[in-house]
Amino acid sequence: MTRKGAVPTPRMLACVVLAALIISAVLAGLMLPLDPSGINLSRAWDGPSPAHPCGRDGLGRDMLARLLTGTRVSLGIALASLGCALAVGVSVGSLAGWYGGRTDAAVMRGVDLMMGLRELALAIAVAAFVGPGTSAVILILGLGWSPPLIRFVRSLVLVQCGHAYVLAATALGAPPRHVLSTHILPNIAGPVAVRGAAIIGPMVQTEAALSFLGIGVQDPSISLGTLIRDGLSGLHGGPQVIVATTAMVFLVALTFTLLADELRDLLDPRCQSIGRPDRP
Amino acid sequence: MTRSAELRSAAAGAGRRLGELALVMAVAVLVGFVVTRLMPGDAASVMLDGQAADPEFTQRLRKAAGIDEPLWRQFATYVTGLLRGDLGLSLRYGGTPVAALISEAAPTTLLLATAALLVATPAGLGAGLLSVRWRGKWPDGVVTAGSVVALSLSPVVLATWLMLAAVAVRGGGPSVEGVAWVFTLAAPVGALAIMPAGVIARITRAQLLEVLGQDYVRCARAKGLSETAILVRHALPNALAGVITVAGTAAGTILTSTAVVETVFNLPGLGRLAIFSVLARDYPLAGAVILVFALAQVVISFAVDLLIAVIDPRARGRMSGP
Repeated sequence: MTRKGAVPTPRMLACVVLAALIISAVLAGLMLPLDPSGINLSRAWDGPSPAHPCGRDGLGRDMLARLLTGTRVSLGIALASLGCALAVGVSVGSLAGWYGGRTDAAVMRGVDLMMGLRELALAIAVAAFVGPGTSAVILILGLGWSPPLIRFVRSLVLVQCGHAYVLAATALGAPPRHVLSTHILPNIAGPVAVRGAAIIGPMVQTEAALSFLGIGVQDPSISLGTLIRDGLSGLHGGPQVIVATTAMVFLVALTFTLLADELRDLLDPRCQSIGRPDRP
Repeated sequence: MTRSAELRSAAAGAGRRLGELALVMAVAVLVGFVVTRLMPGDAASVMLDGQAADPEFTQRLRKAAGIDEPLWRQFATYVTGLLRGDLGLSLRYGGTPVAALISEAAPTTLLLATAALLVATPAGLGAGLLSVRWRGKWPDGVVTAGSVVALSLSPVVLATWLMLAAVAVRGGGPSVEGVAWVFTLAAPVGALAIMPAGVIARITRAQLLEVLGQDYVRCARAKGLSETAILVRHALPNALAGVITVAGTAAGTILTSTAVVETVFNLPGLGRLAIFSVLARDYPLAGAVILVFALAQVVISFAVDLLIAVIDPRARGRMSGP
C-alpha cells in the first residue's frame, strides 16, 4: 500500500465517514431528547417509524435511544480497558526493556504465564472472582491485552536503547526516568498508538460477546452485548432490535480496523501491513 | 553443527518449552483450586440452596465435599483427584461428576473448533497467496477489503446473522427434528471461521510481501522462475512460521468463540458449559473448565512450536514462542 502524497485513499475516506457516523451517533445520544428506558407497553415491537427510526423493543422502549446509549457504554468500556492495558503495557514493558537482566527475565516469564492463561480461561476465572458485571469486563479486557502490549513495548524500547541518542542522553547524565519519558517514549508513541487503535475493535467485539453471554454488563444498564441478548430472546417480536445492534457492532469494529490501518500507514510507514495483533 | 548436536539442542529447546508449559498448567491448577473454593458460604450451603437442613446433614454434606479439612490437605486431595481424572462434583447438576459433564460436552466443541480451524487456515492462506500473486490487481483488492470486513464479523455478529437467515429461510426457529446439516454444522463453523480466516489472510499477505523483498527472491526471479513458482516454492516456506503462529492464536480465539456460537445455535458444548458454570455459580465446574481451556491453550502453543520447528530449521533449539 503506497501513499500517493495528499490524495486521500478510498480507505481514508471510508474511515472518516464512518468515524463521523459513530461520533455523531454518540453525541446525538447525549443531546437528543431520547429516553432509552421509557416503557410503553401498548407500542411494543412497533416497526420503524419517522419518530422512532429503529422501532421499539418488547417493552416499547425506543430502539434508537437504546442503541446509541449501548454504543456509548460499549465504547466507554473499550476505552477504559484500553487505558488499563496501555498503562500496564507501557510502564511494565518499558521498564523491562530498559533495565533488562533479571527484571526483564522475571517480567517476561510472568508475561509467558499470562499468555498461557488467556481467552476463555481468564474470562471464567475473573467472572468467578469478581462476579459478572461491568468491572469484570474491564478487568478481563485489560488483563487479557496487557501481556501482548508489555511484550510489544519492551521490544520497541529494546530497539530504541540501541540508538546513539539514548547513549548520548545517558552519557550526559540524564537519569533513567528522564531518558525513558522524554526521549524513548515519544519515539515509540507512534507504533504504540497504532497497536492501541487496532485493539479497540476487538475490545468492543469482546465486550459485546461477554455481555451477550451474561457475564458482562448487567441489566438495567445497556450495552451492545445486552441489546443483542435482548434481541435474540425477543426474536419472535421482530428482528429490528437484533439487526440494528449487530449492524452497529459490525460498523464500530470495521471503523476501528480501518482507522488503525490508516494510522499505521501514516505513523509507521516502515511496517507494511501487519495482521491484527494477537487477541487475549 | 553436527547432526547429533543439532538434535540435542532441539531436544533441550523442547524440554525447556515443556517446562514452561508445565508451569502454566501448575498456575492453572492453582487458579482452578482457588475458584472451586470461592463459593459464598461453602459447597454444602450452595447444594442446600437456602433450604433449611438439620446440622448433622449439613455436616455430612461438608464431609462428603471434603471441606472440613485444612486447606493444604484439600489442595492435596484436589491435585491427586485431578491426576485420577476426578474433577469433583457439580453443584448444579444434582451432584453429577464434573468430569462426566465435561467429557459429554467436549466432542461438540472439539468438532466445531477443529472444523473451523480446518476451514479458516487454508482459506486465509489461499486468499493471502492469491492477493500477493496478483498484487495491485483486482484479486488483491478483493482479498484486502474482504479480510477487513471479515475482521469485523465477530462470531457474535455473524452467528446472529446466520441464525436470522436460517429463521428467514425456514420461517421459524430451526426445529430439533429434521434440522438440515447446514444449520447444525455449517452455520456455526462459518460463524467461527470467518474472522480467523481474515486474520490469517492479512498475516499471510504481510509475511509474503516482506519475504518477496529479499535478495534470494530477486535471485530466483533473475534465473527466470515463474512468479507462482517463486511464491510457492521460495517465499511461502519462509513466510509460513509467522502464519502458523497466528493460526495458533486463532485456534485459541476459535475455542473461546465457541461459547458465543454454542449459545446462539443452542449446541451442548464446552463453551456454553463454561458460561453456565459462572452464571450458576457452579464453582467446581468453573474450576474444571478453566483447567480444560488452559490445557487446550498449552497443547495449541506446543503444537505451534513443534510445527514451526519442523518447518523452519532456524527455530530448532530456540523453541520459544508466544
